[in-house]
Amino acid sequence: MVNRSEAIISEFLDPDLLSSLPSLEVQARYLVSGFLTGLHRSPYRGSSVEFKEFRDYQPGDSLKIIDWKVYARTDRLHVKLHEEQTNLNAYILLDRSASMNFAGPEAKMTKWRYACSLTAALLLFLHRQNDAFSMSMVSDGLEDFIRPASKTTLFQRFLKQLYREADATECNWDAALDELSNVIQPRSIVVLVSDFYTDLEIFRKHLDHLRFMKCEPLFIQVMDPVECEFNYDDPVLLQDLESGEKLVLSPDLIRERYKGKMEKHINDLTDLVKQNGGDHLLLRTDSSPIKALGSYLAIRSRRFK
Amino acid sequence: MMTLAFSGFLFGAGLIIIPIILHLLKLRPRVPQAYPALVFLYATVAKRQSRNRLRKFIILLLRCLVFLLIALAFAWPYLADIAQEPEEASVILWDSSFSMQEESVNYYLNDEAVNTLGRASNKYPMALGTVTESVKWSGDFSGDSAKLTQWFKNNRKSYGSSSFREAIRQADSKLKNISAKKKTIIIITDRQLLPWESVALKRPLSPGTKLKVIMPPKRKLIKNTAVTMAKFQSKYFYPKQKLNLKMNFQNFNSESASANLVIYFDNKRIKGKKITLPPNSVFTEYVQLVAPAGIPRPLAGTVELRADNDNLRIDNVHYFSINPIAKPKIFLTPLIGGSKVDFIKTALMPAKPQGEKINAEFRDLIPDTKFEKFKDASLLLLQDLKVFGDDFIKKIDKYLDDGGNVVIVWQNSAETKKLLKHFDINVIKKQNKGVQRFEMLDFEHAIFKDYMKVRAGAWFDILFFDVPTLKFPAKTKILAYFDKQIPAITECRYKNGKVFVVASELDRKHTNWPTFGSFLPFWRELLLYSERREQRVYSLRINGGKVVWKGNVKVSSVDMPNVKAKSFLQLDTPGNFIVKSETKSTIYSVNVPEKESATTLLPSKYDYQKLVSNKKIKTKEIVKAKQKNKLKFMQNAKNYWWILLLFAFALSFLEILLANRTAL
Repeated sequence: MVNRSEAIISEFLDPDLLSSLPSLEVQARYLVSGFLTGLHRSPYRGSSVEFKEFRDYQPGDSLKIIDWKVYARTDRLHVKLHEEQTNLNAYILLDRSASMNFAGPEAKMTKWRYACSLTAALLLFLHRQNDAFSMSMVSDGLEDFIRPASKTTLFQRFLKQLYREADATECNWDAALDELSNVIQPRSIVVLVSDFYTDLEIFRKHLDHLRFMKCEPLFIQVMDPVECEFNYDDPVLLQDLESGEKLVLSPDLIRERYKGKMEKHINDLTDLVKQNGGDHLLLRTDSSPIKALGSYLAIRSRRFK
Repeated sequence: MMTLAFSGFLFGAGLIIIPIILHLLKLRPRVPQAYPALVFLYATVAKRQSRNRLRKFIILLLRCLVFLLIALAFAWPYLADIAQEPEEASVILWDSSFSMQEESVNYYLNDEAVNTLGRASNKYPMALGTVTESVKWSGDFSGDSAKLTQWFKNNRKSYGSSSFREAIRQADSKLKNISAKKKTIIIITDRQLLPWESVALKRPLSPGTKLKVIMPPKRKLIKNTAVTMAKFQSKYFYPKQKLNLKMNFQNFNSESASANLVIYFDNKRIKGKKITLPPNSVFTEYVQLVAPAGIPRPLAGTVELRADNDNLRIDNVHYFSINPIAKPKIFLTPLIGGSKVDFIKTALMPAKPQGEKINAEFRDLIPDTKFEKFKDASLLLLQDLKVFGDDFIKKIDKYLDDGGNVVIVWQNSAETKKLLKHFDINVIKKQNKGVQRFEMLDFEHAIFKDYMKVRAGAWFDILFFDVPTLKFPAKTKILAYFDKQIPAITECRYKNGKVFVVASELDRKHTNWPTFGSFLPFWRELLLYSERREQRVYSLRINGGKVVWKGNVKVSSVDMPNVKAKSFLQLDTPGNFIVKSETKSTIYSVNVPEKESATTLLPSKYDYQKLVSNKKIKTKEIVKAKQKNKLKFMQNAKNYWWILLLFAFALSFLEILLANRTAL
């Protein structure tokens, strides 16, 4: 049901409109409210502190949840229901390397801005779901790591961080994930947002560790359409955003081969992630980022089954 | 060596600059563009970068080659040895008149011609023309001297007269159409003035064309006497008829000449006679010859002038002949109504069979008359057609197809109109009320020309009443008009015969012409004109030995010397020629033209070089001539444009494949 709703919503959540929204918070609210409009309220109810409703005792209900005070007053057995308290920790790691600071000739927003909107939406979504969340940027390691919590102040703090520029010269996933492994809680969800232009082998040991910790990784790969299609016509002089190296080439002559390489890289990443019990989501900056929320929700659902 | 027909198209090869410029522009882009996934491009390009560079160069090369080949194909390359511009193109005009057969000049000029033609080669192409009144060409310019010489030997002789006027123009025109560094017209002629007489020196040749005249060395005046005419004075009708032969002789010399006159007639030699011809004068002699006994048949003979001191003997023999005039058969439609007088019949009816009077045979033409009966008729006279049906028109058609002659005299009846309509003659107005006279007569026409000798009556006093206005087909000859240009007498060819129309009824109510002296001679001449139909044919086609008239008369055999099968015979070879047809034989006499006997030489002050133009050749004209010449050569030359186009297509296909595109 999530996927179907997600598809319907995606049609209404226009990436162009998203790029024109003034702040990340508004963008996040736009995405999340749009997403939630299509969903039912969470069916999971637990024993958290937030009271939800009373109902008559039914045989089979735990004796622990009977409200004895109400019984004393009314001589009837009622059970007290509370809003779900999941105790779920979500870690969002956002690639802040310069390679994210790219927008193709026809793109409305850079990969970085797209990733930030997406992250903001995720944070808001997590906050509303009462999940504990943490967000860190990745450059030569983790930046400003804060333990996950579900607090509005924390959400605001992370939101401010998202206004930073993607100007790091590198994205050292190895170091970042090493650092994370020291602090991560078991059974957490780890969301990695990046273009993943790196050696995939470095993820292998970290994914093993995450699996060991019963954590579920969600790799959200953000790409510009140009990176996928490589639809340049004339010979171009390209400069690497991180290393500054230059390369002259004729797109006509290498397009197919490049696309083959890129496809293989994406497939390799998908395989790697899925082999380790995670999910991989490829998002093009010309599509709605709403899918990310759907993917997160899917993972979260699996947790409670 | 390969040469280009339209080298201008090679400028099109300049288009290769387009792919080169595009290549250079795209070779090294100046502005760097940021790109994040360079790591993949390194992996992709690193191995192939050098290969790609080579590939790009190959693509560039292919594009350049495609442009180059297309330009080259349009420039139309062909083998140059065929079309190389000649050093000098010459047109040789050989004076082919019979005066050239004078012995003293013949050998000299013959050798000159053979030597000139011997120089023909691809560098020096020549065209040869033998000149009489017209020019007979050897064909287009050729470098094959043997072929030209052979053609010359076969065609150098003729018995005609020559004129250079048209020949020089035609030669000039031929030279205009060939590209050569030098162009020359070479005229080979005796010193006779005659062919130059009509040449307009004021009208120069095309600029750049030179004129060279090869003539025998200046010599003394040639001596010549000639028989210029031998003709019977009378017409031949019956056996043992006395026939007067008139002969003209001309002495072209400034001193009197004596000669023996020998006459052969009907294969018998008539007694010779010695005559003396006064200097520079025409001398006439008469002789009476007697036709043989028996049925009249064609007779022929020769007049020979055996002069002692004569350089040109061809004109000393003159051929003559006479053919009996058959009794003409005339079929007339009888006039219906007792009071009507058939004036035509009355006029043509022989009074007595005497002398030259027409001894015609008259028969009635009625609806029952079978075609076989009147198919040989000289003339059909159609007046009153009221009793004739559609079958009759078919018979008339058949008769005309056999070369017959029909005279239709207008009658205001539906049948006449129907017949006229059949010949595409429409009645515009049935009657023009009032009096009409002849307004105009074609006195050049044979009917009136011969009539003029008779001097009978005033044509323009004849009255006609209520004549119709008829509209004739475009090809019709109008022999006479009434007032206001209304056609009165017409002649129109129909199939192989002729249809004459007299646009007035010939009775007392409509004309007084029969009372005039011109009436009888007109109908007599019309009858004779119709009777001459076989004699109007001047040439024969010899087809596999079977000789067929160009007209309708079938000929079973022909007695002619030097006539080859399948050749087209112009009767320009002197001699008596007997043509035997199915029904009768006819003799034709052909003689050398009289004027060619003239010995007047070209004056030494005659400056034929005035024909050479002083103007310089315009560059445009040279280019135009070159192009024209090339086009002509290319029809025969081996050219390779299609191979080049094929290559261009193949290369462009390769370019599409290499450039990884689906279209150019």
